[in-house]
Amino acid sequence: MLKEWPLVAFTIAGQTAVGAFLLLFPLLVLSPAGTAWSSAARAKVLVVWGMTFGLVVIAAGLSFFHLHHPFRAHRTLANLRTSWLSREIFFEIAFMALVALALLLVATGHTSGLFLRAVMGATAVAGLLFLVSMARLYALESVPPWDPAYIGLSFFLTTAILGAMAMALVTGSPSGDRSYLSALWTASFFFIAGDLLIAVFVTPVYGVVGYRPAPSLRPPARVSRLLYFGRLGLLAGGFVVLIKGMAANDVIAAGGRGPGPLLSVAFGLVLASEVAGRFLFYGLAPRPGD
Amino acid sequence: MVTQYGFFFNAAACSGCKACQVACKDRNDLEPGVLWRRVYEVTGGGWEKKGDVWVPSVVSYNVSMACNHCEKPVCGLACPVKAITKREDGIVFVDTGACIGCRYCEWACPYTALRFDARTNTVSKCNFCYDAIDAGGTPACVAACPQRALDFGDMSELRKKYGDVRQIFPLPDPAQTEPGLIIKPHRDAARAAERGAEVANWEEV
Repeated sequence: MLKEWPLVAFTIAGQTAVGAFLLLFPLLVLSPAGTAWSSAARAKVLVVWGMTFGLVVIAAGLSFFHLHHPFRAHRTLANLRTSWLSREIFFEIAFMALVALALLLVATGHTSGLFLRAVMGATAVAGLLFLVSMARLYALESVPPWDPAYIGLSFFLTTAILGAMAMALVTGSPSGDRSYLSALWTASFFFIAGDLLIAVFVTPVYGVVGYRPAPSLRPPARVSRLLYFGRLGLLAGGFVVLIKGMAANDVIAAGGRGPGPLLSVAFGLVLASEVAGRFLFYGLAPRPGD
Repeated sequence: MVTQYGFFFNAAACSGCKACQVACKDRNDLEPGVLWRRVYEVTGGGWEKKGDVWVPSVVSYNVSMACNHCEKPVCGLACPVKAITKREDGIVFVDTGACIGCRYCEWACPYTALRFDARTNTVSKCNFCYDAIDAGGTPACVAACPQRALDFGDMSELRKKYGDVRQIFPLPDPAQTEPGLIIKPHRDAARAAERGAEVANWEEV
C-alpha cells in the first residue's frame, strides 16, 4: 500500500490544482470582456494560477516515481484510443500547458481580450477531462472493491475541498478581500460536510476493507481498518477546526499575511485525511505477489 | 489456421500437485515470486445439520490459472504504451522493451495474469510457450500435468471437445474479457459461493 505513494501524491496534487482553477474560473469568466482587471484582481489570479501550475508540475514530476522505466515515459500518449491512462496524461499535459499560457497572458497584462477567456475556457475543459479520466481509469471491473460511482464522487469532493481551501490559503494576502475568502471557506464547509456524510454512510459499504462484491482472483486487502477511522477522525477534526475558524473570523491572520492559524490547521487536517483516504483506496486493490 | 488459442482446464481432475506451475517456472526461468501459472486452492463449507445428524458440507477443489489470452485483452487496451499486443493466433504478448513499468495492467486484468518481474522492472506473463507452439510442440504446463487436467488448442476445437463453461468460483465474469479458457467444473464448484468458499493459499499465488 505504501508503495503507491507516488500515485497518492499525484492524484491529490492534480485534483487540488484542477479544483483551484475551476473554482476561480466562474468569477473570471463572468467579468466583462474589454475591461482590464484591477491590479489586485490580477495579483490574486497570478497567485492562484501560479499555485495551480506549480501543483500540476509537481504532480507530473511525482508520477514518474511510480514508473520503473521513466525514460520510456515519452510513449505514454501512444494509446489514446483505448487507454484511460494515456488520456489522463494527455489531459494533464494539456491542462499544464494551458495554465502556463493563461499565466503568461495575465502576467503580460493581456487581461481584457477574448483570447484570454478562450484560453481559460479551454483550460477549464482540459482540467475537467483530466479529472474525469483520472476517475475513469480506476473504474475497473477487474477490481471489485473500486466502485466507479464512489470513485467519481470521492475524487470530485477531494478536488472541490482541497481546491477551495488551497485557494483560500494562498489568496489570504492583504489584497484578498474578506467576502471572497469567506465564500471560499463557506464552500469548503459544505464540501467537507458532504465528504463526512459519505465517509460515514457510504464508505463503510464501498470503501472499507473486506468489501468483496464479486468473485475475484485478487488477494484480499491487507490494509488496516484503523486507516479508515484515522481518516474519518482527521476529516472530522478538520471540520470542527474550520467551523471554529469561521466563527472566529480567522479568514486573514492578524498581521495581514496569509490566513489565520485556525484555518491553516483545518487545511492541514483535511489534507492529511485525504492522504489517508487515498492510501486506503489503493490498499483495497493489492497487487498479487507484493 | 488457429485464430484464437486457449486453454482447457479440468477442475474435476486436478489434484493440486502444482506440476504445471513448476514446469512453467522452469521453462521460462522465472524469478522467485513470479508465477505465470498458479494453482488456487478453493475451500469452504464445514458441517451442516440434516435432521438430527451433522454432515460435512465441505467444498474443496483447485483452479489452475494462467493468462487466458483473452479475445478482448483488457490489459492491452489499458496499456498506455501499447506494450501488450495480440498475435494473429490470439496469443497475447508483453513487449518488455516497450513496457514502462507503470503496472496499471496488473489492476486491469481480472485473472491477475500480469506479474511484476523485478529482474526486468517490467510486467511479464504467460506467453503460451509460443516458441514451442510454433515448432509444433506443447505448452510446458500442459505437458507437465500428470492428471491430463490441462489441454490447449484453438478455441473452436476446444469448445467442440469440452463444451463452453468459462467460469467457476472464484473466477470473474468472462464477459469482461472473453477469455481463451474452457473449464470442466469440479462438482463442488456450483456450491462454493453459497458455502462461503475462499482461496486458501493466497500466499502461494
